[in-house]
Amino acid sequence: MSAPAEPFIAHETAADLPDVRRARALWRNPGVVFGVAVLLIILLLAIGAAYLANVDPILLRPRFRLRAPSAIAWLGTDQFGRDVYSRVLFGARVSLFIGFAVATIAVVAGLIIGLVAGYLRLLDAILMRVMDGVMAIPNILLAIAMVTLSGAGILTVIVAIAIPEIPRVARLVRSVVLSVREEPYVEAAIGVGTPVPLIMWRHILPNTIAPLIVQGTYTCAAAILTEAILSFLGAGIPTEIPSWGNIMAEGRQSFQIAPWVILFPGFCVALTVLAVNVLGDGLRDMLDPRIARGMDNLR
Amino acid sequence: MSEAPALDIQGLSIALPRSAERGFAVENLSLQVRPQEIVCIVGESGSGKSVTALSIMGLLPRALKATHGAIDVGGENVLTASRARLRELRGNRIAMIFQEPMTALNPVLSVGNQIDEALQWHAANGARAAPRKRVLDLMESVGLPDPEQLTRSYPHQLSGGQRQRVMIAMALANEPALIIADEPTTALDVTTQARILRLLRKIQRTHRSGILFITHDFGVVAEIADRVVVMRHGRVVEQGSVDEVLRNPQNTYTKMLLEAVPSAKPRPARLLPKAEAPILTTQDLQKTFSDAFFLRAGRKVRALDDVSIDVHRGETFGIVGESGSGKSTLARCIARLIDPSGGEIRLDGEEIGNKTQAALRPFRRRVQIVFQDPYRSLNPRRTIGQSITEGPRNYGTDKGAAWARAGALLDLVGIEARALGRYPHEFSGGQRQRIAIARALAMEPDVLIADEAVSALDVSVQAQVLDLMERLRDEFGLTTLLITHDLRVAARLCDTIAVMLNGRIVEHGPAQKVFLKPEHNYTQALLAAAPKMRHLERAATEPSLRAKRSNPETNIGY
Repeated sequence: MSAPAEPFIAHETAADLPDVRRARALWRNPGVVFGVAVLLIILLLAIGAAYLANVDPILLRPRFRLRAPSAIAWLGTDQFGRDVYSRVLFGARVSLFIGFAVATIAVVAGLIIGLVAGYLRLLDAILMRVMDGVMAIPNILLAIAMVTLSGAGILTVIVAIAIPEIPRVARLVRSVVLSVREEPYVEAAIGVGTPVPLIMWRHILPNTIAPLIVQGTYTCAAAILTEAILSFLGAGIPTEIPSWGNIMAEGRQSFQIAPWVILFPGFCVALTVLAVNVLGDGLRDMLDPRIARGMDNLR
Repeated sequence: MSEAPALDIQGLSIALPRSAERGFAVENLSLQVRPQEIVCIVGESGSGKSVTALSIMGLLPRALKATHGAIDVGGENVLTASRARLRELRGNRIAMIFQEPMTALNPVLSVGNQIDEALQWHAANGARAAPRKRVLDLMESVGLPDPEQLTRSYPHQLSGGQRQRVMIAMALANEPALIIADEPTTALDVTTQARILRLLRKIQRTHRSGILFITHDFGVVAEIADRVVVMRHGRVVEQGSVDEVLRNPQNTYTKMLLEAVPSAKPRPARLLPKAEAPILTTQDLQKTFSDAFFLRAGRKVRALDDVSIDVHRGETFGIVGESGSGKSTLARCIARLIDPSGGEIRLDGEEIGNKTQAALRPFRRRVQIVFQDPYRSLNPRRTIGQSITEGPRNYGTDKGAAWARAGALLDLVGIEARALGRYPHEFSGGQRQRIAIARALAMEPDVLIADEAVSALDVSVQAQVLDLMERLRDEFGLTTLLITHDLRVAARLCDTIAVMLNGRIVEHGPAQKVFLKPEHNYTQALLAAAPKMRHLERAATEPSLRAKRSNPETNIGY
């Protein structure tokens, strides 16, 4: 005998599942729309740099040194007569690649370390003390030291920038794991004999995604800035590969007579970092359960 | 009574945002609270009782708007008052006591300072004669021991009951016309609840304040109310004196609510085959929590102190105790979610207390646990079908069979089987708790542990889930370990009861005996403190509830 089945109360239709609803709400957030739009444009410019640039970015033209922006050189030329417009387009490739690569490395490494530290308490103290140690080293100093030791190059720069970001991600993930592992649904999963790797994958990992997206965007923005700073200091990407940072570094000496060499790449760095940050803020607002669930609490 | 009421709400309607499933949080509500009167608003979750309280304080969330009516406090309409005026009114004329005193008090200020602050902000300027004396008087009047010493204490150093007394002292600081108490005893243990209710009644005699008391518990209503307002879905369904409403309810919803309240009468003893060896035993089980680290010796807390129980097949074994008694620790040790520090746990004679996690695997499926919070015990990102089949799939049941069985189980707990593909947020709290029970049953356990499984539910839903548990027990002969703080719930289901205090079992025996002839004085105190519904079971010709209440000055001490 069983009780008469009562119809369950469907408050919402299937299309109103929390994840779908949140995804829709994302596009109503102006920060997200602005950030995605700007980044898409810059990404397209970077991908199409070979077609959009009218001159080879490393072609030296001594007769065209320090020309102001004009119909021939849209954003002017630098002290070697190289076309700033072309260099900025190609520079976008390097900057975006570094931002994306650093964010990916930091997030993946931090996620693994954070999950392990949060769930396996034996390793927690050891791993987190190592992370604290890494955090104690100033980013720029570490990067300069690494570049000095192993020579300038995109890979070195990426690794040098990514390492100090790992502990931030690891701490974030660990804190999420520590709170989620106390949730009754995780205990229930232990109770029904779910193996530890599956518990991590099914029940814990999904909770880290929202904060990770947000942290990832900040890491990406920070990496673009750090690369610019390193290149500006001469410890970054070698000058034959144009990046926003070393374009500005080289324009430094002639800033008073040819400000455009610094202004345009500077503007691109500022705009990209702003877009990534605004996108991160927007994602945080939409994914923060306190804000996203605000309405549910009123019921 | 020709006195002006302390609170006069006329035709109040509060609109909900468009997206909500009903138009109004509160609809056409009218009620009065006179000075020295305690009016109880009773209702289940979603009835609009808390929204009403917030609107009186002028603290409605932005999304909610009062669209009609007036809230008159001492001759002034709160709804039209300016923000500055509202701030003056709060604390001066209206004060509020919240459910959770720990979060309502500032953790970094001493309680003396906080009471003093309530005085400073709201007393008329210049009239602050001897504030310190006033603070001490207030603390004395709410029955806080050694006020002189306690003024320097911080909230975390006080017990839950003492914190609630501090809240009450702050509420009384400026002799407000109206005190709103929003579930002020729900988070407290029964014995503490009884003392706080007695305190509120005493205050009602000596102060002029009217009290609007919000609760979901008819036991509390019977103890404290002068008048009762029953709310459902934002509307008043019945309103009247406590005697009228509780003894002779007119509305069917009120009748249903009153019937759903479990009485503290133990169930008649069942015939159980006791000859067999117990299925679950613990022998001198111990659990010590310590904050020791490396070589440093830490503080030790004995959460379980030599606990020995025998649970027989088919029996419902109740473990009753107040917060901190160790009852949940016991449940979690038996389910092996935490490791015991000493003693034995035997399941069907096999020792499982010190097995490693790997060795525990075959045993896990035989003991299942249902948790207290129905909102957190199901993973919000997984469909309920995935949650129910997770366990059987771990033990090798093939997918089709596991899902078919999950459907059958849903049907068994009274939810349509086609809901398997739905997510937890689409279900009410009671439904989720049934889903959690279905998940436990999917493992075909020998022992089901219900750790406060009905405590978070509304009383009518609670009755349904208890009915379900009773039915499952009778049909499948399920052995149940029922952990609860609520004696009424234990009385409803249990064959055997163990009463826990400070990690020890102080009394233990058949439910009939423990309820009717309690031996330990703590058990007696617990029974005395449980909100009484028994008044109601007597004839309506007897003296009124108010007259029957015990003298507030007496102590129950144990």
